Amino acid sequence: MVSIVDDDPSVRKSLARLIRAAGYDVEAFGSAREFLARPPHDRPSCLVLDVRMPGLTGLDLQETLQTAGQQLFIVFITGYRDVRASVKAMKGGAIDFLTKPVNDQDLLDAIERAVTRTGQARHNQIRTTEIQNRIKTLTPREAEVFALVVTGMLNKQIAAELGVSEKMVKVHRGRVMDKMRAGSLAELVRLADEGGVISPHS
Amino acid sequence: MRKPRARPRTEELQRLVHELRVQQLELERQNEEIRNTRRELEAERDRVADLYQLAPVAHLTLDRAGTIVEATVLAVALLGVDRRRLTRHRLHELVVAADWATLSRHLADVFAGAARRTCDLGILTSRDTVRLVRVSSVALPDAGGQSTRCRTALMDITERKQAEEGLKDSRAQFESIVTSALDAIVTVSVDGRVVLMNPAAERMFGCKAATAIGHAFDRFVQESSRKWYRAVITASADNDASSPGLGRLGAMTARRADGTEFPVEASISDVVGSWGRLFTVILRDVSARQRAERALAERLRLEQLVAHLAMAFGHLSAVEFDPEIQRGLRAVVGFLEVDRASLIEFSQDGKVAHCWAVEEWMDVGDFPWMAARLQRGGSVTVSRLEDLPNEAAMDRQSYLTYRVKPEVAVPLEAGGRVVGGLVLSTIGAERATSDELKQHLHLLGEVFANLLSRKQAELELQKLRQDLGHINRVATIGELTTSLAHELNQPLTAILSNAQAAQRLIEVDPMDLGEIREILTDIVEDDKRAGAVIHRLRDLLKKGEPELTVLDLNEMVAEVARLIRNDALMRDISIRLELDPALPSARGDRVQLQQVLLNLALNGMDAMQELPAGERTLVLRTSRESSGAIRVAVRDSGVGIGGRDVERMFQAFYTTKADGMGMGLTIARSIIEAHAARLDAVSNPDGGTTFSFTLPAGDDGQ
Repeated sequence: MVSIVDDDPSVRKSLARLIRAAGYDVEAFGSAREFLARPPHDRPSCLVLDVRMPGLTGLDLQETLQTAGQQLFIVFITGYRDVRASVKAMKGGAIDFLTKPVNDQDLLDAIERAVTRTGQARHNQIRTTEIQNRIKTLTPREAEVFALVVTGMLNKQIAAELGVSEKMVKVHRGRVMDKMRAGSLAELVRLADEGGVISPHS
Repeated sequence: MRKPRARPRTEELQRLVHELRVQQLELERQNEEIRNTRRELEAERDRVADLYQLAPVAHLTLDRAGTIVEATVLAVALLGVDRRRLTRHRLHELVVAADWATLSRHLADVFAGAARRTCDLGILTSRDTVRLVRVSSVALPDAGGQSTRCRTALMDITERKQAEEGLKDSRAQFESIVTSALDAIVTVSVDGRVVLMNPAAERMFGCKAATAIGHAFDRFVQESSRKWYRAVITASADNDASSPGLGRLGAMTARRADGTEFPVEASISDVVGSWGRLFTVILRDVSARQRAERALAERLRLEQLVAHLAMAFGHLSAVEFDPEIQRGLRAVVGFLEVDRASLIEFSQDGKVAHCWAVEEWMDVGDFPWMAARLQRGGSVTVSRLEDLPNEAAMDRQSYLTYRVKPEVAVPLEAGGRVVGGLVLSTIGAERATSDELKQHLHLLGEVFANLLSRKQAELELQKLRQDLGHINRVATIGELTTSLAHELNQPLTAILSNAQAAQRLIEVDPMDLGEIREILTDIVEDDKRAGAVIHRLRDLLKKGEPELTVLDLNEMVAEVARLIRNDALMRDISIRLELDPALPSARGDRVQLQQVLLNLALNGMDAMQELPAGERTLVLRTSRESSGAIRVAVRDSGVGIGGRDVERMFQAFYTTKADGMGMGLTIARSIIEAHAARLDAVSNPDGGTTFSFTLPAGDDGQ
């Protein structure tokens, strides 16, 4: 699903036509407010957004969405090259910043990228949720051991750190491996990373 | 810029009037003097006559030797000598020595014949005074026919002699006055015959007194003037009282012996004497003075004409130019009494740029030699075919065809350059070469030269103004570039996307023809939209002469609003249109007025830069004034003009903007003023400024 926001009706209409002809579902809005007022849906989507509009501008909308935690990949289109605006947009995570008149291939490529990125993001989101669900099954002691194991500490060191016996550490570690469904230490470390427990370099 | 000429010289006229009065007084005084002298002369003559009649006569009897034989009492009294001393004494003893010879001759003559002899002798009286005595003697024949005695009458003529001398003096004085008088003096009898004529009169009439005396004075007076002088004479001849016309100054036309006529001023006085009544006519030739007066009057008229032209040409707009020049030339034609007048204008490169003429005109282009000569600063005088210069040989034929008309052409110079020429046709041949005419032409030429040089300067200024206007417009458009580019980009974007969508749809089977048709319709629409933007731009950038058309100001305001819409959008300014739906149309130059409005709108937007985003509002309003005029106003909610001088705001290079040229308002004002309207700026009571101008409603504006 591609959403278009542009205040110029004929531009809006022509873009919608082009994108629809490329096989996407399209919804179009005349202003940022109209877009924000639409009922939310989960389908992977991309936003084709005009930079300059009366009222809320394209950049304003990007900021609003970010603040709201809605991850939406945006392809900006603009009437004129404005370096500052384009830098701001790209920093905000925009897929591309295209200048009108927009060549169809450039636009569709950008949309495709956005859609793919949206799909990936959605996939990552699901996996993270699942790992986090596994982490939630750990007891507090297991969680402590988990957090230390993935840093590369030896059982002896962990035992000393937690003030328990080395044997106890071994038992907890086995349970963590089971609950996290990790076949190896390396896999456990990756799960910890994906689940947001540690960052690889901290 | 030339100053208007001084006011007509009234003091010159006054001086002339004064001079006239002085002359009149002098003439009257002279007249009076002559009358007095004449009166004295008459009195003297009468007194002498009395003397002759009343003087006592003394008698003596003398012998051949002059011895006194007898003496009457009167003789004794006359001679003042004792009778005893008288008789037997020779008369010689009583006579002054100088007259002895006279006395002796007298006696000899008396005794030589029978006739009475007379002589004047100086007699020494006893009182030691010499008296002049007229001695008249006749011999007394005795019985034998011999004369030994003579009877002598003595008459004291001392007084008479003195009177006679006085008379002679008076006469001499009178004659000297009459002879030396500059004015002609003619004495005329009651029946109108010339009695006397002085040398001045002889000169004036070209006629010797001898041939005029005795003849009618009428021959020296033109028929139409005879009535006046005759009336004066008849009136006083008929009754004893003097005619009221006497002594008064009158104007007459006199005639010389050769028949030529000339104006004179005359006064008539009368003298009554024993011979009856005579009239003295004093005449003064006033032709020279009348010429001077005419010259002065003409000069005055010329000055007035020049002043009038200078004034008329003083503030001349381009529109009035041609008719005003025509009027000026017609005034010149009327003044100089010529048939035609033409004004030639030379351009900077010396070509004939323009020609104005009163009455039909042979194009100056047909006479290149004349233009060339004027161009070199030379004047042209053609009064006869022979006067045509050599270089005009080719034109002889056309001059013949048109029948040569005397012409005078003078170059017009201003600022050290020949800017044109003034050509006059059909002037009298003798006038064509007169200095007076040339002087007139010189003065008039100066006025026209000034006019032409000012016109050229004005044209340059106008061109400069147009250029500046164009530059300003380009600058204005520059300010709008991003905004306009965006506006042009929108339809282009739509067209491209639509076309590419269509390309894709064509590939799909089955083709959605309905959709493709719709796309094509949209493309056409968007293309038109892009075209309109370009058209607007081109209009704004157009460089050219102002063009007056009937305008819908509402539409024009809406158009300007469209132009600034994007700019306003970027600057968070909301634009509000308040258009009077019943607005009549107006006349004006669309592009220029649009530029003014655009300028005012952009100024207003700039003025609101400092305001918080929500408070920036620009109002464009059209309304109808009570006078019927249409007002177009641009109102901003900005910082306002505050204490700034509104007048100074309209001056060139006045700007409060860092990147402004300061030309916008100046040009806006000059454009509005060219539309016979006014550009105003007022502070709004609730902040900000309203700039507005009014235009007269167009033809349908009722």
